[in-house]
Amino acid sequence: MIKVGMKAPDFTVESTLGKVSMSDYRDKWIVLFFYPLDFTPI
Amino acid sequence: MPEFNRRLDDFEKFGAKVIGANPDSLYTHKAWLEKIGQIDYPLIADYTKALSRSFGILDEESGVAYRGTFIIDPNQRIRYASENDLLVGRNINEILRVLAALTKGKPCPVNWEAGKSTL
Repeated sequence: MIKVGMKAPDFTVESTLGKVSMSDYRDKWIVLFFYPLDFTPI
Repeated sequence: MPEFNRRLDDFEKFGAKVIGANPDSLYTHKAWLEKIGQIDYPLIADYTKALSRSFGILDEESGVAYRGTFIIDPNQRIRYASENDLLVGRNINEILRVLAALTKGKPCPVNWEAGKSTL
């Protein structure tokens, strides 16, 4: 797993609000969270 | 996921943007949103699993992402990383607590919470 202190991997990916790039968030704090699947109750 | 949406203003207070991600397709995301209602932050469709893999939280066998949570600072450094088992939901208050402490930029002792004094 990625560790504290490491540089975040760069990404450009599709999202529900259009393309999302790491570079769109320059100068911002980001909270990025992963979850296993859609349609899960947790 | 809807809980992050309900607390979005609390994240905005620290100038933080919330992004969700999983290995489902955009098509599945949209069907899911029709069920649970609007989500005001982007949900990444990591269909190629490249993003989950690059953050090291992909279970290669089942193809699902563990419940990884990362706080990334304005210089693109990872400042917080956690990983939950599939069965255990996150504590949004804890993520906000860490974000408050990080954006404070001062040493925050054990059980520190926003409003308490720093060291």
